Amino acid sequence: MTVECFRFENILIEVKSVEGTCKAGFHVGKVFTLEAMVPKGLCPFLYHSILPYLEAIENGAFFNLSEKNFILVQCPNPKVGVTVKIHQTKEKETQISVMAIHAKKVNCPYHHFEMGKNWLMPFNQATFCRRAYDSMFPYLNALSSQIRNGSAGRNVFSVTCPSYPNFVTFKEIRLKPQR
Amino acid sequence: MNPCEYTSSIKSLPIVLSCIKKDARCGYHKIGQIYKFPDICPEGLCPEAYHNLYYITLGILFNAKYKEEKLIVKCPGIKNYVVFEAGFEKLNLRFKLLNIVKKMLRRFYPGQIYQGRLFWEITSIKGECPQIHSIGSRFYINRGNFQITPNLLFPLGELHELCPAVFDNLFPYLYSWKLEKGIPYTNDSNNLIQCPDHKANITFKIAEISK
Repeated sequence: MTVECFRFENILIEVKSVEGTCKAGFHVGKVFTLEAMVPKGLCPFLYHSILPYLEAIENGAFFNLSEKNFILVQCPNPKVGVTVKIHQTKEKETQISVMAIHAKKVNCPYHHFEMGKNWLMPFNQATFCRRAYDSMFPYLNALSSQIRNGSAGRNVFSVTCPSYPNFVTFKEIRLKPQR
Repeated sequence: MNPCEYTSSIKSLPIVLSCIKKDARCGYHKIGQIYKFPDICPEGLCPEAYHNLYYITLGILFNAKYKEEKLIVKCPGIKNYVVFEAGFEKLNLRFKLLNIVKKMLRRFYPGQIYQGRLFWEITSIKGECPQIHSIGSRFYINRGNFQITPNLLFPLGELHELCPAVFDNLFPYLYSWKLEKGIPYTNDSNNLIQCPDHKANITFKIAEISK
């Protein structure tokens, strides 16, 4: 993930504290790369946009009359317009969300999306807690802008997930750039 | 950039959002509609908290069934934070009538059947909140009004606020706008943002308010 829109070279996220029990299984000291937070090959901006829909459909939200209850969601950039289809498969009665690129108007400058590309997501088994990623995304993006702008100070950010009363606090770790 | 600092850093952002595109039915927006910042979320509600709340708000609006008995969300603050709980008030008469029509047409046209008017109520505050929130305050989630024609909305009692989905898409990039005068896309669309609905394609142009 070294593209210009999202600059996170030398940034890690560490679990700083855990209040109560974390359903996602985070424990203090666990460290994540930014790449580990987003499904491989999926644009982090698009992923942020679809998260509420993933959460909704996995909890039985009803979006249309089709047997395969699905929703089409697009990325925030109108000049790119990548649209993904979100629905659940019935494989082994495990709730799985499949996202497929449904349409694209122009080539995405960052990810070479192909029509029909899928990401399979076992229900509640994301590599990184989605709610935490959603909560963290504005601060990650702010940091990315600061890095690009050359104004990232020494202060690192901390943020919590939105769960309560059990919640996890995450802290940014900035590594020294490799020469 | 820590929680609370984010909001204070964009508080006086001199931007205006103009709706420039609408391709399908939408009960929130009309072409030419303008929103000045910070009037992009329910009055008095911290935008950082609203961003966290939206994550499960969408599911609640579309009748998702969550396992939890109470739907509780905290803002991203660490030492100082605010906790919200979801609740419902009765629907007004117009929404009740609309629900009846939607149920009758459901075979042909699936629409959201609202069970009640969703609100998020502050149930506890730890430390000091710079937004001066208070326990018991309620913030209502805007469900939009009813579109008759693309530029004529029948009022159902909802305020003309920015659609929550557009807010959720836009909010994480506001600091980038402040710092880089654009959303961090690397093509010529860095002053545009669209809603997640691929049919409606509601698109907003962001511009600085000239001093």
